[in-house]
Amino acid sequence: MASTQVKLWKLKLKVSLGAVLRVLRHPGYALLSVALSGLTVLILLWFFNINLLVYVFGAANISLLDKAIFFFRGFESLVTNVDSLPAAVLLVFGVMSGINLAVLVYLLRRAGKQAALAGGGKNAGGAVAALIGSGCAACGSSVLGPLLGLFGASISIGVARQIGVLANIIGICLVAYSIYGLGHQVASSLAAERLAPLLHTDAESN
Amino acid sequence: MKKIIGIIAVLAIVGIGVISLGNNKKPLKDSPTAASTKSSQPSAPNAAATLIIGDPNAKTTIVEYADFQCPKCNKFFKGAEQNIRKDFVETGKAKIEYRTLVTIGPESKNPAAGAYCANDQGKFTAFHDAVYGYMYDNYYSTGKSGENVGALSSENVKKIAGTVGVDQRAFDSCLDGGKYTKTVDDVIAAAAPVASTPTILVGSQKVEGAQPYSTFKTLLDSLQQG
Repeated sequence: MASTQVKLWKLKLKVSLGAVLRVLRHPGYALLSVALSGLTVLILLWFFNINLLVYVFGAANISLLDKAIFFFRGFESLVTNVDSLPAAVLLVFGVMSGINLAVLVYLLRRAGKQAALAGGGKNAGGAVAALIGSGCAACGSSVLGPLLGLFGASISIGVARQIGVLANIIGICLVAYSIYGLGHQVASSLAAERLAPLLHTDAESN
Repeated sequence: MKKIIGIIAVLAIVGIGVISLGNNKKPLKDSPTAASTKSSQPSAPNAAATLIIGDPNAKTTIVEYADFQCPKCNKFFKGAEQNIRKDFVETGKAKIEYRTLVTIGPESKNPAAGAYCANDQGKFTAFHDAVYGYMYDNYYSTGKSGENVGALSSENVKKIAGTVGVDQRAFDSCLDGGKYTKTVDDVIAAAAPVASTPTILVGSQKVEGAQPYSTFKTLLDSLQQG
């Protein structure tokens, strides 16, 4: 019984990933996935300095090109401001978010709002978890401290860092689950497209 | 129904986090001579408690809120700060005003007080560099934690000060006597609502974290152009 369940899970996973890969084989969606991955990582990196970004974008004596460069050079803070493990976890989350959002766009265009909404929530949840995990809890630049403080909790620096990494990992798991779910919906929508002409032919002959 | 509860929970967590962070992110005006100081803005400590790197008469002031134990502050020191010093401080375009915070733990008070003791002897910059260098060489460069492990105990701070040529007796007496304990506490109180380190004020703009040099260069160039 257990082995049947495992086999079923493996099959479901194969179907889901196969469908996602089909979407990403379209150059447009692959490019969209890369762009959205980068944007997700950048947004998380800039989150603690949003006011600064607003100032620079509004500054009259900084050219448009310099503003764009300033925004994209936010990637450098991955090296200067984030430790290796959180940076790696953040990048993985970014890549998976990009894939998830690209598949979401595909579903929205092909299968409509209902199908797409089902996956959107998990991506949002993943983003929240990643946000909690980003920053330096010990140095104060993290939502983790204030969040825990609101519930009357306080934790040691080491524990704060571990919770931060854990939050990022939870974010990845949420997004992974979202990709899995969306993959199934893509597979269903593709199967429905293939069956539609056959059903139409059957109806005509009857 | 479950979806709705889930969405509400997510929004609640995001909202709490943003509100909490927002309370620490009020717009700041860095002006030691500002006529008014609001409770949401950090105020400048008195002149005797000012630690300066560079020419005190430089036009632009970069205010750095940092903790000597803080690993990100160390990253900022080893990274962007070196370029800021080369391109702006050493050329007389800007000065760095260092304000000591204690965010990592009580052990941070030792180098914080030591900074003022070294400043008495005109050795603040050398002391500042020596402490960050010591923490990098012995802890952060090898990935070891240097926070509240005795790295910056009172004895170690005295030894580090000794390496930059302070009058050891005067320095030790200053540190052991608690000459600047109240000053450190006053600087911390005046720094509210700055809650994270490093936080750098470039003009009126707050920069949190050890951001790359390019971030500061854009801001400083923009300020220099007026």
